[in-house]
Amino acid sequence: MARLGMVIDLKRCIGCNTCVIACKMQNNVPMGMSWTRVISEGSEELDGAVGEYPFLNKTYIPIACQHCENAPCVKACPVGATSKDDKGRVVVDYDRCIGCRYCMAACPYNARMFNWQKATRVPDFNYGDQAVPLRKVGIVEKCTMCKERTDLGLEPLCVEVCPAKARTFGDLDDPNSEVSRLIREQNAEQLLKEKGTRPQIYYIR
Amino acid sequence: MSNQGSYKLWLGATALLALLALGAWIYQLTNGLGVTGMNNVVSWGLYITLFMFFVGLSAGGLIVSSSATIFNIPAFKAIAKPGVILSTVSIILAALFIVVDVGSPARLYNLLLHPQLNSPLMWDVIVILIYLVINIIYLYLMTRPVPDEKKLKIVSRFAFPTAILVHSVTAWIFGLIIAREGWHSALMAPIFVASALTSGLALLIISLLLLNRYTQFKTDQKLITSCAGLLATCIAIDAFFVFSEVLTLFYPGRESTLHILSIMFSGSTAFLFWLEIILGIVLPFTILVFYRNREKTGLVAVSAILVIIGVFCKRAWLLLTSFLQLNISGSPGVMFGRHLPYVDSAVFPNSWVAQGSYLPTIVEIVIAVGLVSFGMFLFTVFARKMLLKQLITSKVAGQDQSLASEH
Amino acid sequence: MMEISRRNFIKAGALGATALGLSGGLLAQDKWLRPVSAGKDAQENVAFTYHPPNCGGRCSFKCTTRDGKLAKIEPNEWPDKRYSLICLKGLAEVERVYSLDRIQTPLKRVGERGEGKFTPISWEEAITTVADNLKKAHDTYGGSSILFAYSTGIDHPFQILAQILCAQHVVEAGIDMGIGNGYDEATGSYNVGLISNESTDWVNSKTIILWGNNYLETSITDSQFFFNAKEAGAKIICIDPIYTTTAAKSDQWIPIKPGSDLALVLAMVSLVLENNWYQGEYLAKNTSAPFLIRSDNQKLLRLNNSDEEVDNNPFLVWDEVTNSLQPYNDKNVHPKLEGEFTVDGIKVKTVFTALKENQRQYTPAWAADLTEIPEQTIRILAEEYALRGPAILGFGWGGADKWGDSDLTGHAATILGALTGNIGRIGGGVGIDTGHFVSWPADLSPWPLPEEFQIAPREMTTGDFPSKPNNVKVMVNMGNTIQQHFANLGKTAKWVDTLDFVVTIDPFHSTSVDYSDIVLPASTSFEWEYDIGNMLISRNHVLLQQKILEPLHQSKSDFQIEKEIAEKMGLGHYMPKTPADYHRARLDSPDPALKGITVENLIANNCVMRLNVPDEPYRQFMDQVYATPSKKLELYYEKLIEDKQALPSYEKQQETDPSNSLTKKYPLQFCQQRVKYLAHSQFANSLWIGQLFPGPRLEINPTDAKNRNLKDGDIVEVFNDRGKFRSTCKLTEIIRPGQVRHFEGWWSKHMSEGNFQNVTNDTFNPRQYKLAYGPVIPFNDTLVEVKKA
Repeated sequence: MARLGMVIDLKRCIGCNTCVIACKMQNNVPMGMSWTRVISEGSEELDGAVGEYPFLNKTYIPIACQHCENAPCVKACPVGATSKDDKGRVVVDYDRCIGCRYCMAACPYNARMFNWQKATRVPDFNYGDQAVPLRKVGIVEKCTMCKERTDLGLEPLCVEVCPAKARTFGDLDDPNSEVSRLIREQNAEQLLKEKGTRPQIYYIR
Repeated sequence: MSNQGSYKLWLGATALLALLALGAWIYQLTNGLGVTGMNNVVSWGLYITLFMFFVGLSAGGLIVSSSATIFNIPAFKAIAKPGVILSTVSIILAALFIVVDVGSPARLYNLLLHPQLNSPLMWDVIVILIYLVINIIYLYLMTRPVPDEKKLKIVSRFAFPTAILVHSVTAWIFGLIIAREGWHSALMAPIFVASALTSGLALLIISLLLLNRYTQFKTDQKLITSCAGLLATCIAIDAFFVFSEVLTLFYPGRESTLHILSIMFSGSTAFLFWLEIILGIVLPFTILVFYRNREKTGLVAVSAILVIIGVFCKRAWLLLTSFLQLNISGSPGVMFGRHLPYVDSAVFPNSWVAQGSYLPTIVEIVIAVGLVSFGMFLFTVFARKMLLKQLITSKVAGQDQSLASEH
Repeated sequence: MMEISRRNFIKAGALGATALGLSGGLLAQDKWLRPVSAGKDAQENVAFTYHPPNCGGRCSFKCTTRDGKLAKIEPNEWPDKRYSLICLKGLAEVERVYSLDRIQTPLKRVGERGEGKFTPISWEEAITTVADNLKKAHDTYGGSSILFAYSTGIDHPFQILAQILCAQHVVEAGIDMGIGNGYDEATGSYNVGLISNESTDWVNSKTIILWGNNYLETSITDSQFFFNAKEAGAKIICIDPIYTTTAAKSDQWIPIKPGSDLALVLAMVSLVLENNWYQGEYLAKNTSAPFLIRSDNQKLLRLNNSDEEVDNNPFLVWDEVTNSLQPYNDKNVHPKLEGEFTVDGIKVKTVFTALKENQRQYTPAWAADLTEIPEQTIRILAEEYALRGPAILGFGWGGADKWGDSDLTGHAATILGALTGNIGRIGGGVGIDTGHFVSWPADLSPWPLPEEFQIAPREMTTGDFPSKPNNVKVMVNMGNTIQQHFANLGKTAKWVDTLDFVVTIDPFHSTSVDYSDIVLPASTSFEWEYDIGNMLISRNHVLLQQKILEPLHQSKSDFQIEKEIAEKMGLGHYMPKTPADYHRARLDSPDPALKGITVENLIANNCVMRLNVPDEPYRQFMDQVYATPSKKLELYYEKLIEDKQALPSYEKQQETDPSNSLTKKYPLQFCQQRVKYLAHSQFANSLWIGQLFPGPRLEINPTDAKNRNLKDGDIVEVFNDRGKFRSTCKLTEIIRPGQVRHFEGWWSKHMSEGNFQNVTNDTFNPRQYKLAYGPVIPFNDTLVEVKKA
């Protein structure tokens, strides 16, 4: 039983959004939707900083599904369409989802996206990994930790492509893995820890 | 009947609105829920607001009706039937609002095939089903030519707690969610039950007054007055809970909570909040607290209407406020979930929102209005069948009942 | 108030028809109930290529096509795994290749130049027209009347045809060479100012100054080396007026007044001299610091007055041991660094002494005033650079480089590096340090052509064509050069209009296309008629392109277009038959770095092979042997004696200096910058990247905005005496008051009105005609005012 997780080094994240475009491509995510995002912490403008010139501060935070150990969305789903699988990923069964969107209300991270309309893809064909299932209107979707890749022992694409090497991926249950080591040695934090969701995505400042 | 013509007109009008709603729903099914004002930040809107609203109305109606039997209040027995009819119609409407809100209604059967008992929503499905069954049984028993008092007593012993439970479970759908600070509170269930009582009772009063006006089903003025008095008490209880909730949110001075309160007091949902407080609580209470006012049907009617508006506003601000602010703030925010096509290459559509916003679209309003009309249609049909046609028999039975209760 | 999304309110529209417009979706039962998993049965092909848009990346891609469509791009695996990289722009190619902005057929202009009205024509007609016009110009006016101008990032820029026609062949003259004009004179190694050490050497530095260098946005795929250096203990200092991402991630950010870089460098030089923080031995041994300046003509003292080579007529220095004049390259010489002497009645002083004298006026207080940086900060900066070495002084191409005094800044920076012994050192270097442009070189052989075919010497820097009489009659334009490579677009357009013939080759309908007579649709680097495409040396590897897609629409590859034009002109027999042929000839080189690298081997190795070079960062001058005539690091520039800039002296900016009365009318400095979302003007039309940010913005500090009654999102007009444009205003604290920023690269059609190049400064400094790269286009030396439109 693995517990797959990630450590993101916020010292290294330069907000380039390579992970966002990679995810879009790999998972055939249509226009108007993004499974992951990079925010400028506390800022109201895009790529903005906090403070007044020249006393400024800027931190980028990539946020997607936190694959929580105590996932509120898993508890909320009335039909069990969202569940935690044997590798510790929070996954969605697209065939079972009834589109009630309770999971979206339950997620503190706004990590879930709904198919409000028929997907528009530009370019107009299915791109990315063939193994990624197609989703349709009226159901929910989100980061799957690149299930199709991690099932094969690869890393999620966002981890592989990060140019600043800010992301590390591995098994949180293995004390010798790189992620476990980083969490121990670098005082890694979790987002919204006080909510008790126990995310499997950690952040280093 | 006094006006067969206007009765048919009434039925025709409500049916037409209901059909328009059906059309709108089909349009929504074809084009996706994107035709509503909901988005990835405010992912529930008018439909769920009305779902809560009607569960509350339903529960309120049934609580009043069953308390007639449980607490042995003979006066209330006379209004038990309209109460149960209201309750049944309301819960049907509530269920319908879920059906129109869900993104893949074709898969609703999954609720029965794969129930997850961890989910408060599933609890609600179960409770509502049980509740609906109880309602139907209750109606059936009540509409027998000779009502079986013993069976009625048993059923009401189940009905009363189920009614309280149904709205508490609905409350727990929100109250147990730690993600949204404005929802996560132990007071949710009491608030909902209190407002179920106020709104349900208010709706019952209005229905009785309408029945008084347009049909043979007359209710005693004194009964209306005591209902109004009960309503005043319930408003006070509801106000107490709301005050306690707001005080608890406000006192620690925590920034994120204060931000939620500022949205309620002076921000986007402020008009809903203040409408509830002023129109839904302060005004009606001030009117109804005086016995003399409670005797005037005009004032009672106005107060009841105000209460209903107030409770609807409460459902709305309760639902929406907690969606409006993101827990993790920072631009660009979240993609709100529509693809906006590029029509002018100099204008880049912006898919991101840093905070929630919501306005119901025409589709939502047509569906909402249509479903409510459908409810009115159903109530009219049931009332005609169960109240008026049995009017004569119940008068007889009522005499029997009062005789029986003296022993 | 609740934010009302009016479009939602209105979008629902009338129910009537739409409600009953039942699409197949609802009623098609199989769609309703079919499980959502997609089939895995589509035919997939994998091929390799690399990405050329000159962001400094040049990443190798593993491309998957499905049913003939480009479906997936992933980073390829390099022998040196650190470079198995990609960025958001490379990934977005899945969408951009299919962009609606693709020019689909050859076009012929039917309106005025600049109007953008075209009619589609056949390739036959297009090629014939081009060939005829080239032939006419060539035969009537000579080859130099044809100007081949290409954008950076075009890997096949018609070099062969230009050479055959003896035409002029230029890329971005006057751009990206400002600092180089100053630095390269000292090293003799003409590399447009590129620094001597590869960025993989940063881990060995203790102090890294990134000067006007937004590394983390412009060299995204090199950002790992920034952080590795930080983790290895380097202190990274960012000098920039704007709080960029690089500033945010550096250990220290020094906000500087735009255009005052020269003052800061000069002050640092003064501080190093005054505090004796310099490396005397290094200076004496490796530089021209001990050379002697004659007081009669300011030239350097040599053995005799002839023009002979240095070997026969060496520079003279004062030897400390023998207390006499000696040739500088004598084996046993110990040059005296400081001193004044009299030789044959002529007073001479060492370059070092002259430097000290010249520097006395450039005090930290003086610089603090001009740069608006506190004096103490300047002192500490100089101290850390000098004493906490090895140290890197790394400029970018968007800051100091685009001012009129950039050659002086480069010169002064070189002196600073020389004083502190940081040139030719592990973990050291001075120069342009951005993008991974510095790496082990390899010499590819040229395509064999008869000797009489030579590229014509450049008549003048391209920025002068609009204003000086010249021989150019025909322009062959590859990419968006008309917009990007000139300031003051209004003037540029007027000049283009006087040309006999303009042809543009571009995959996308960018701004430059509108000024052309014939437009040829080029394929992107993913599309080829041949199995093999372009080849490139980058980041110590040789990269090859395979065909990923057939050319889309009616486009042809650059190679094919060049070939067809040549064939039409009867010159086809000079051209390579296929790109593979071309590369075989290029790889047929004596350079040992290329040993064993052939087209076949490249294909067998997934199109990326490492050069045969050492497994360490590329470093120049480790042996302290320079390519100058003296073979030393030459700090004194004799060619600028007339201009009194043999040693750098402070010069005011032509337009933005506060003493210019124009600053009252136009108080804001305008800068255009490269940003992570674009690669110059490429990707401005990418819809995927367009989802991330809202389009062109004029960024302004909130205080400046408030004074002009501007709110976020207002349409504003940016104007000066040269022209104006309109954009949308964005208030942001990261911009310094007194400065406004606009991302470069936006095409005219993306702007509310006009083009941002309408306002830029195209004034040249005559001194720079003497320098290696000619005059710099001072894009940054632009004053504007902003008002609500």
